[in-house]
Amino acid sequence: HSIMPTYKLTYFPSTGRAEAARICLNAAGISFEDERVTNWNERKPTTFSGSMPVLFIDDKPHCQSTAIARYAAKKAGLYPSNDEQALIVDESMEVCQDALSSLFSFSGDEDTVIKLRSECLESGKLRVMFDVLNTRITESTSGWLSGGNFSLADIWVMNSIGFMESGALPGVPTTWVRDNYPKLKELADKASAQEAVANWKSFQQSKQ
Amino acid sequence: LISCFIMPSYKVTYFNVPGRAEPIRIALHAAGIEFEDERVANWKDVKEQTFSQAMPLLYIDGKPYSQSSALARFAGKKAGLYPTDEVQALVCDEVFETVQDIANTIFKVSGDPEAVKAHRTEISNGKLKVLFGVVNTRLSESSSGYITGGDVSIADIFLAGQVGAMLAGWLDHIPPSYLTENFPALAEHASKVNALEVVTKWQEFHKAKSA
Repeated sequence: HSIMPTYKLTYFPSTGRAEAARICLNAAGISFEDERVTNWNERKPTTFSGSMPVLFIDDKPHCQSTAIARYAAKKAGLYPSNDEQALIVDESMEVCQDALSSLFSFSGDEDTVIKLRSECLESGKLRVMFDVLNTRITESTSGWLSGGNFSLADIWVMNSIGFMESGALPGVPTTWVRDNYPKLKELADKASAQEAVANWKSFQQSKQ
Repeated sequence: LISCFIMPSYKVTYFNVPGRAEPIRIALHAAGIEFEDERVANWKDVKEQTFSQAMPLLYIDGKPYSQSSALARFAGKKAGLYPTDEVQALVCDEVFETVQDIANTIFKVSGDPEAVKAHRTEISNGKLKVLFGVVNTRLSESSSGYITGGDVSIADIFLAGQVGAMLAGWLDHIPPSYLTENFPALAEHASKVNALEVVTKWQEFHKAKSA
């Protein structure tokens, strides 16, 4: 028989690029150390990849947020076995990453960043990426992004939208997604209510 | 009852370079999947009419799909170039994305020759060492000589493509010696993988079609 490996997921205290993996590991019934790092600048030079999240499996580090999330999602039954559906899931995660990094690609004072972000939302990369996601949810006959069951893609998009609604990004109004992409907002809300997501939230609350 | 399965039509759209589309092309070809290999010369003119305003794109029965990592994984699965073992798949994905990061890091600064030189010099001693270090570690852990510890995968192919281009001197200010001196195992891996039939078969096919 095989002995369960030990798992540790290391990231900042925020949701960001790790939350989907946390949700999926928990949904898979995998006990993991949920490490939250507050002194990243000090730790960074000592790390395997100079980046987070990192998933340690029996102390062996693995990097890359989408790789980690996909691994966890497979364990949780939240990653499609159908290749075309999986393609959409993979595409969705990368699209969200491109969308959010576009908002972080601007430098200058706050007014400049706000102006550039507004343009990005209006007609730039962010808009184009959200149009891709909107096309997918519109095309889907199942109500979930992949066209099949609730999956990692819906979780990842939910987290990305949550970040955009947080008010943490000057130039990104908290109602922007709801006002411009109501179907995606609806998807995010629906995903929030799914067992896998709700279970992770209540598990965290129980730890406090 | 006779049922007839009609193969979907496939098209890969990208610039006329290997780049981020090559693993997709190699894998589809290895899978025996015929596809239109569209090479775009006037990207600026057509960009805004495309699905994601970015390439590569994979069209399946005319429906566009985007994101090179997603497309490579899809094609890899069709070709047996993507692991079924979950941990091997994690390593495959991890290395594939790290190679994406390597390319993104290198090409983050373009245009002004002085700025490019300064950038590439800086990253050679910094971020690239870390990123190549990750890949090198994974390779050194493998008992099979391939990245995942199992069979050759899209991670090997994408990595070998990037490393091969660097060994051929494609990058100003990052000479071949950067890899041969700092990461000789990666240079060896690239030579091996780039000589595999799965890679050369596609290159010969493409060459014959373009002739």
